[in-house]
Amino acid sequence: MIEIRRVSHAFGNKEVLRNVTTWIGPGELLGIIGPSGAGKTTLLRILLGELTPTRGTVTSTSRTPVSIGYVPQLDAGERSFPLTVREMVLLGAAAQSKRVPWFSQVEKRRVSAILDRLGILDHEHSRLDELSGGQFQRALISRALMAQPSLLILDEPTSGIDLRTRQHVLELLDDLRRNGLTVVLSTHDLNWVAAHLPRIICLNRTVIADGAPIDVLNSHVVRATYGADMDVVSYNGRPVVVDAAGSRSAP
Amino acid sequence: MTYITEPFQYDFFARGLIVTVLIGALAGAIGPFVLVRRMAYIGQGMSQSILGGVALGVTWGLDLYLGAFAAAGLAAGLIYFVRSRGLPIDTAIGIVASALFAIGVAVVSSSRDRRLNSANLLFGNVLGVDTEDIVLVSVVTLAAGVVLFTNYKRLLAVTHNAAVAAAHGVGAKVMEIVFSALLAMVVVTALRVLGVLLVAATLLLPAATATMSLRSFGSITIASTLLGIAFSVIGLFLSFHRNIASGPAIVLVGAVVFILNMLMLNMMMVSTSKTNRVSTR
Repeated sequence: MIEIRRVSHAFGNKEVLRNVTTWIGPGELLGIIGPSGAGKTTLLRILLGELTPTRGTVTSTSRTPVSIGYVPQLDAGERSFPLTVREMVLLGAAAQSKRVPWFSQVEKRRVSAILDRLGILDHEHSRLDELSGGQFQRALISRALMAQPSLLILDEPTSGIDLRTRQHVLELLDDLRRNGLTVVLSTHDLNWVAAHLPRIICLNRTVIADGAPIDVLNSHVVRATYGADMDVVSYNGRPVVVDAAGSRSAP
Repeated sequence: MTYITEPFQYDFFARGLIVTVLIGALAGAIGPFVLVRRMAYIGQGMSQSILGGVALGVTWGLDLYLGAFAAAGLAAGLIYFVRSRGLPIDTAIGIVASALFAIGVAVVSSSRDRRLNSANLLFGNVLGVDTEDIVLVSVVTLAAGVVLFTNYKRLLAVTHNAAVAAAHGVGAKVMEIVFSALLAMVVVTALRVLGVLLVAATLLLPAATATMSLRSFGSITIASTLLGIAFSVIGLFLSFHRNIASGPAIVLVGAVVFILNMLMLNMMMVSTSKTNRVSTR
């Protein structure tokens, strides 16, 4: 679907990405992990077309143009905006919609269907600041789906939401993937992606490792990615990253 | 009844009313965007800046509005330039607006041209509205209305989150230019009736009153447009009967309605919380 070849990016003299080469396949659920400042958001902004890489290329291998749905990090400014959930979600279709101030019946029905699918139809007339973190996250995903994307990009979707909501968000993303949507997300939540995502890219300015968590996650990779002394143990066949000092002192 | 009919004995009142209603509607419709963008200061800055352009334009024998439009464009460019040097936006606006306002005051205070009456330029004067003003304000309001009507959804998407809107295919940079142009249109057309010091208030008061009471942005925009018209009409009658400048009269009406609305909402909140306390006992 998308090929990223030898991509580097610098802000002034500060190099944020160096020689990143990877790919995103159709129907994938891919996690980009790394610490703060690893270049995750920069890589996402390059995928969004918001930034042009200083070096390297990002090319689509699809026959049809790649349409993007974008879910940004949870932002207090966005939530304080005087919009209802329905209004915000409809804005996802603004670019394709007719040049009148209102939306068509077809677009309105599509919003209802998306809100219903994401379990927030009851909150369609709520103001954004009346939603919980999890409900707002679902509203943001709904808006991205209104853009009818073939690629869904989520920036830190697990930040600021509780464990139960994280599980719901993951189930939702997996469900979307099974329906043919390609999903790419960034997170620093290592154990969450290790336990649930089929493929991860460990990033720290450059690609440290790329593959299934069970294959690529080991203490060397975690150290190279996060610069922290961590152990990787197996729990129910899944890799779990634990503090090295803690794991050694355990009986 | 004579309170309403009496002013229409004078031609200037009808002319002023047409212009005031158009400006009230336009400012009311754009106001919610200014409010949520937290751009009240740029509206104020841009309106102050045009005084310099008006003063120089009239002195050099140009049209008043031409000078105002040129100054609005110059102010936007200078604010962008100063900001690009790393200074915060409020500092950039403060420097540019104060400098252009100072030029305006300097030229006005040393000029003997009757069109450069400082009180009229600062606070507006409905008596000065002529047929040419009606034509210009009608054309600009119509153009701005069409631009807003056709770009409403895209403008709202960019205002809420520019990065998301751009990712979803909306031309975010084009929408920023559209918004700046709309703001400049309001500021310049409102010059005659409201004066350069009170334009920002007419952008904010209807929008702030509507935002406090309503939930959706669509209903806020409609209510703000209607309130903008209502404040302008009531303000103009007040201006006629109390013999005060049109700008302050319109702003005072808006401010009183805003305060009453705030007090009413406060009372409703107190009453609701009392009812809840009683019902939980």
